[in-house]
Amino acid sequence: MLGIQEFMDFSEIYEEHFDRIYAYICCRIGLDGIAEDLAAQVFQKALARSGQYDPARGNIAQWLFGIARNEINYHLRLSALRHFVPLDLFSEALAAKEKPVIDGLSEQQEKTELMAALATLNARERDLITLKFYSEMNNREIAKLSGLSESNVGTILSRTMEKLRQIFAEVG
Amino acid sequence: MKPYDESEEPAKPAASTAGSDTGNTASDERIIARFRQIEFDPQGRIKNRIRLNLAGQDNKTGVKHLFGYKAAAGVLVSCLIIFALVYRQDSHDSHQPDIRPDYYAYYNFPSTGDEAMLLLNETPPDWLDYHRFPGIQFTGKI
Repeated sequence: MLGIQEFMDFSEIYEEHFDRIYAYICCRIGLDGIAEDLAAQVFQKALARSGQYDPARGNIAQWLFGIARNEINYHLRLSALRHFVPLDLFSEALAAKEKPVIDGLSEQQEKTELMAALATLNARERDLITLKFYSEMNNREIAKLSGLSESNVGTILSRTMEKLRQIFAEVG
Repeated sequence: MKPYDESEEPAKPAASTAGSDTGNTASDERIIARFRQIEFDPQGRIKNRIRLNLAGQDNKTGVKHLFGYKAAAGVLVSCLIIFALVYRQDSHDSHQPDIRPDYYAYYNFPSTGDEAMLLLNETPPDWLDYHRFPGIQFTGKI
């Protein structure tokens, strides 16, 4: 059981990082109720293993995003085992993209458009670009987390941003 | 496509995803800003729900710790030790000689010191056998 001070410290970490972790999860798996469950699992694991955090191996954000990434990958592997196609989670976003924009982009429409853009990327591109967007890690740190080489991460990110630029150029 | 060189990574993330083209960098900054501005949990309801669950989890962890198998084993061993001590004490008491006089049986009442000693030594006096009374010499003559 954590002491009060430790729990308060964790609460501060939670307040600081929740939004970005949740956004990362949503962008990886789509706008679905599962995102909430996964976010809860990430912070439950972080709370349970708070004593295992080693500052020498990276900052808190890297540690949390590492847990989140593992949880998402585990969820996606389980989904695949159950003959469930994860990209279907984005189907709603892809369908909504076809609808005409009537009176500017509302918050929901903006979200739908961005999620539809992410749905066109493959799993690795979506993983790296969302890590880049939300974790504030540099390419070296992303490479360390993902197990790819730093140059490979840079190449994939450049290619992915090029795709997104084209998508938004077509839309806009 | 030119891979990104870490040694030249600028502070802005877009510069690490675009090439040297300034237009691309500005475009990337706009795209990244759009993504970062999305509020996936605008009301903060999900955040609050998970926060409450985490607080509950911490409490459950405490209760689990309190009633964990180690504590339960300790309590069980303590109970067994106490039971064994009480049982042993009770068994020991049961072997004490019962020197309570039976007031209804005349012959069981220790009226002399010898008779009392016989009872304390758990030797029941045989009133029909004079040899069992050390203070009386049986001569064989009445």
